Amino acid sequence: MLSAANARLSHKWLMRIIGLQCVIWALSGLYMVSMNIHFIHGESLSREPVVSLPLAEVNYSFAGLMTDYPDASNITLTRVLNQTVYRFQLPASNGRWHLINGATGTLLPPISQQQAVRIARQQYTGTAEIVDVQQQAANQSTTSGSTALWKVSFADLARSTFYIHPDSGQVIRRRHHYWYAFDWLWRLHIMDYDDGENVTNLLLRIASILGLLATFSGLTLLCLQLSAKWRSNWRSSQ
Amino acid sequence: MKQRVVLSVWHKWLALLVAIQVVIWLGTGLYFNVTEGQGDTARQVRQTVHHVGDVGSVSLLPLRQLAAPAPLKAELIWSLGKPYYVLWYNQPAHRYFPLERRVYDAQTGQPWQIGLQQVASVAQRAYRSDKQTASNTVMSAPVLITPPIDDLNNQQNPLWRVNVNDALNTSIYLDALTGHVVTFVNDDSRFRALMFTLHFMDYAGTGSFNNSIIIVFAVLTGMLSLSGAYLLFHTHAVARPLNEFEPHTNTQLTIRDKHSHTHSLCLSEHAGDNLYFALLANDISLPSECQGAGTCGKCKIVTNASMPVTPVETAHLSTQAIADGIRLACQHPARQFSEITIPVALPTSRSDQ
Ligand code: FES
Repeated sequence: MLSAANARLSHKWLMRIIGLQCVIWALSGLYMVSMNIHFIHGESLSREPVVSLPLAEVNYSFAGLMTDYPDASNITLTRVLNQTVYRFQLPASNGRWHLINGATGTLLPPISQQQAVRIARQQYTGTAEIVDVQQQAANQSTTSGSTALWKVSFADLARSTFYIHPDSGQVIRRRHHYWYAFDWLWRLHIMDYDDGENVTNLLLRIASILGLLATFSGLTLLCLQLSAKWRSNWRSSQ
Repeated sequence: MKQRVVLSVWHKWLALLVAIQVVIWLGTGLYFNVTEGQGDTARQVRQTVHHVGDVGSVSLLPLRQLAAPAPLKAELIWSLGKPYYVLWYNQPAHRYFPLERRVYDAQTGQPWQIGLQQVASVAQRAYRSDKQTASNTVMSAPVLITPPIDDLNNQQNPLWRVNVNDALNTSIYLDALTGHVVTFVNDDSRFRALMFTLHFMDYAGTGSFNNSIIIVFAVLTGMLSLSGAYLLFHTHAVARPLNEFEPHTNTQLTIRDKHSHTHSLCLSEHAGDNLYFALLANDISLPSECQGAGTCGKCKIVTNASMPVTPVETAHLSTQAIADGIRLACQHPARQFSEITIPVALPTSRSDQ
């Protein structure tokens, strides 16, 4: 029977089962929407240097590069640590990035630890000191292939950390405490507790169905109460 | 107990404000849970366009011979077999942020922007159509559109759009300067985008979930769920027999109604229920908005002033009212009462006189 008492009872029982997840959904969602996503991705932690390329010093031309490396793709003339360099990929080495000195045309060796530190310091927008530099074990991430990234950490409150690609000299990831918090809340939000990549998990499906039922029972209760209130107001105004 | 009463009122009003959106959140969430990772039909009709031409036969002009200010970075790209230089004057974190670029023909050094015919040709090559439908596929002439773009909320750069008359109304978006494909959109992806708009409450069309509407609703929903959790775990004394008054176990109840008519009622099996429900079971409905939950404070009756007072009653009733014998029916087992006065009129057929 559809009565307020029944609606209340089912609302209470369903919420005893799924209520905790509802609190988690609400609070994790609140964190995720109120933190600017670009801040979470660390875009405010680093800046690209705004120095125009000194074209007069570029003695090695695009034409030269195309002759020496006809297979090169994604060729960009850019700056890495006050040096003008060409950055490109070669299919022969599985799309690995390469750097060439723009003045001399010589192939540059992978970024050293000292260079990684200097790149991190140059791009970091904060003032904190570097506290830790490590080379990450290989096979860590899918985006960087099997490359061992340089991991440079700063002594700021959020422990900002830059991941620098040794082949391209680019900062390819920025992490800080807010990012890790976001990542964990995301996992709690989608109820995938190992890597947070599976939005289609069964647990989430069951939970959202229960959540919907619990919400509908609450909504029914609300409607019954409000209609009772309006009816009694109407009666007393007669 | 005061807290409980206040929170339950809050809980109700918060629910009234956010209930519909909570249903939308759960419903769209379930939609993502069920559909995520299923074939992206917009991607299925997209294929890579090979722009690179004959590298050996082109002669590239040195960059410094371009009549252009020195850029922050320079790219060599290909479009339909020809090489071009893209000079960058800003380095945004995302391609959808405003881009400041200039494009030059890498062989002649002349400023260049892709033309209508070439865009149409790139769109043709990027669209994969199977043999049967290939002949019927008609593409609209490319149009250069400026943001805001309905299909791509966060895009801040102008793009070319080519519409395809296929079953799913595919639209191909291409870079305004270079003609490289930016993305494919079709009715499936548009529906999905609508689901995201609903889930993120992005009704202003910013393309981002960091908007003030959803932040306000998330705060309210946080309060709703926390007040609900409090109400669930701080159970109240409603309808619990108060053991110290157990000796009163009346099953006969004398009721004086609004018009001072006296009625007598046999409670029988409802004697153990709270008075509100016991009366309801006998078709006597006291005023109430919470139907016996102890939160509205409307189910007033008058009885003997010595009747115990529950915390819910102290929260709703004044000390004077309590001293006058006013109590809330839903707060006491019916068997505690032998005589009550109620503010509603009962049909005279029930009357003893
Ligand atoms: S307080 Fe609402 S019915 Fe008793």
